[in-house]
Amino acid sequence: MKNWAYTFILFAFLYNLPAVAASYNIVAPEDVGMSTQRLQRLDKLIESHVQEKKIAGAVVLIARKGKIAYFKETGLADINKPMKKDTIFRIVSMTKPITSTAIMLLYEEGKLLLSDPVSKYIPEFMNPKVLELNPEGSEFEYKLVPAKREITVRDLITHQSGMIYLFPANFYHERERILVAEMYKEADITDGFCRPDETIGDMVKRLARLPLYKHPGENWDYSLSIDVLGYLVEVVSGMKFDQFVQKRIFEPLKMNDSHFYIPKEKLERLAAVWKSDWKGSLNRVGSEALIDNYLSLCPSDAYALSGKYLTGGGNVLSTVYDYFRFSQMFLNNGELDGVRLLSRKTIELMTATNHIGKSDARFLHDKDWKFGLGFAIQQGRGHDVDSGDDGVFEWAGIYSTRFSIDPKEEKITIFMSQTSPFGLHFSLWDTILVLSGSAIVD
Amino acid sequence: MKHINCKTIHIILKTVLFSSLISTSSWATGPRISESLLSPNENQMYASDFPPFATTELATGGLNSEIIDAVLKISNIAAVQTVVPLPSMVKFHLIQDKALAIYGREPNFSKAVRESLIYIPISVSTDNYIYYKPAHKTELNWEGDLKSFKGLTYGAYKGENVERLKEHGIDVKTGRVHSLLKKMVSNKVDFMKMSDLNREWMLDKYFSDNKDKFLKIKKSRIESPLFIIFNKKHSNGSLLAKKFKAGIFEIVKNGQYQNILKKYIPDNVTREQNMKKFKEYMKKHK
Repeated sequence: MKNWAYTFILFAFLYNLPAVAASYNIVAPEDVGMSTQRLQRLDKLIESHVQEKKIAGAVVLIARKGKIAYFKETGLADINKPMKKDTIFRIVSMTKPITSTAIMLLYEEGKLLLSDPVSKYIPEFMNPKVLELNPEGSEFEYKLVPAKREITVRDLITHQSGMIYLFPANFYHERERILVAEMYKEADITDGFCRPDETIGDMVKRLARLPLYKHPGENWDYSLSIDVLGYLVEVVSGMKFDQFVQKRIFEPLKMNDSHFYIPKEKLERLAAVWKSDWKGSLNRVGSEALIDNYLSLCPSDAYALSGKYLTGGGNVLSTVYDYFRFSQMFLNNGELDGVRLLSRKTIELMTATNHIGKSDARFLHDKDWKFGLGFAIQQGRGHDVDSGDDGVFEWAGIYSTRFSIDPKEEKITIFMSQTSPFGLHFSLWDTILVLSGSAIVD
Repeated sequence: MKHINCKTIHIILKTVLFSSLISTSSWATGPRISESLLSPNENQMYASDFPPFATTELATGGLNSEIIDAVLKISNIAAVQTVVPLPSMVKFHLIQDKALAIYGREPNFSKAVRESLIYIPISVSTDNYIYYKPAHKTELNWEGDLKSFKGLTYGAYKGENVERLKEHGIDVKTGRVHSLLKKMVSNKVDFMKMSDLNREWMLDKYFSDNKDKFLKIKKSRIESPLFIIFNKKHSNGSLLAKKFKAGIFEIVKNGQYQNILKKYIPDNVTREQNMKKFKEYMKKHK
């Protein structure tokens, strides 16, 4: 065989290697101003959590200056199945920044304005009403008053629409919230963590006609707003939401293992969800739903190969590596590997801290965290954080997945496990951020 | 020439000023305020989702909405119809907001509330008990009363009167139609009552693959009127109810009613039965 033929075969072989394998370009931490020795502290941290049966396993990635400095898998993805770098996770609410990016793509094309009323595209949002309590002793407990203004696209993307999620009613007990949550339940509106057998459009059109918890623009409240945005993408683009995201985000960024519904050949790679009390009781969740009052989780829904429901708030299954690529696009001001997704100006707009006025994004954090167009952004030290800096932005997924992007240090930190309940992993995440931050030595 | 120029400029300026006033909203870059927020119609009518009788999924609003529209037009009544997702919201608007009217199935009102309302039939719902065949080894049969369903679980809509069912030892689970149908498939609900038109709509939309497995329980057919219910506590309630009643007779007389019905019930025999029943209800509520 001639030399050119060997060259061609070799080229074809290399070209067709799985993208993930070819792209794990892990550099020596010192090349990007990080300490190998200090990063090794992360090994011990995660291993101890696995040994103590707080979590079954995890994958952690630290990248700096565009290069991966630390990428390690530990423990189990499922019974008798070790965690791998390419294990697929339910990233749930880490879908939200992806949905926000989809909206901003349409924004950049001039197809919508953030100031547009949502009713311009989804008429059911016209004339919203807000539930307000009547004075005590009144014949009726509440009244429905016209909202001071309509919900805008920006209200949705910044969680200021006045809509709610059901599950926060487990820990916030304002009467108005409970009444609205009960109406959601009566109307079969769910948080989408158990995938309903209907289209997102059907759900959104019902939700749009239910009372709001607060007047639009006046209150930050974690909500179904991003699910509405997913449907808005469908209405404005004329494409199914998953197809739009696939074509406009996953493909250009080569997020080859990110899906709304898992392809059959990748089922093996999907991690199981584990219920943990973080004291040593760790059990794999089967097909049962995890229900805690207003919170309903159906981890086994992720095994479905297809379905109608496409939620912008929590549908995506992905890998740590894919999410690194997505995050790096933000750090690079909208571009990755020569592909420009968004402009620098749009990234600046998305990461600006002045979208929610005096409100704080009090959910993952307490005070001094604002909300941009898709994630919380640190602006001060009012919240008891041990690391990080102004401008750091991050979000999380309800099965204990997290990401943090630090523009000043050009650092990305991603942690993924599949552990429930969500609230118990916070100190582990905080420690991961401390260790990744203190590994910077330049 | 100079004079003409001044006049022309004046006209142009006036035109520009006028056009800028009428198109302000299209220039605005901030949140737009809906016109209807500023000038709400006093005559509000509410229904809850009940496709194809009342639904936001059809541009016409559905069968009942079309009938109401035709009557409003012929009677020269200005009113706005709104379809909300929950029956409880319909009740809220009628009782607390003192809305002009609601339409659909008769909600479970107290005697005192009923006395402040005026009921006018607008259409007929033909209902049947249904069950999901694969969940039952044998056919479910209606034997004239509810005794034969003792020990089974009934799927009820919120607000449905289920006292009689409970008296007969029937367990009751409440939910929206879609979730009740899903519960029938998963064997958590044995039977429920559904309007024929609503059943066809829901099964076509959500259960097209197993539509044929939802069977009517034979001889369980029940016909019931669907009403527009005017509120005497609304300042125009009694007057507009009177006008509306005259209007509905008018559209039956001129054939408009039948034409609307034909769109939803194409089968001649079924439609004629429906029409006959409707006329009986009209006579009863004359």
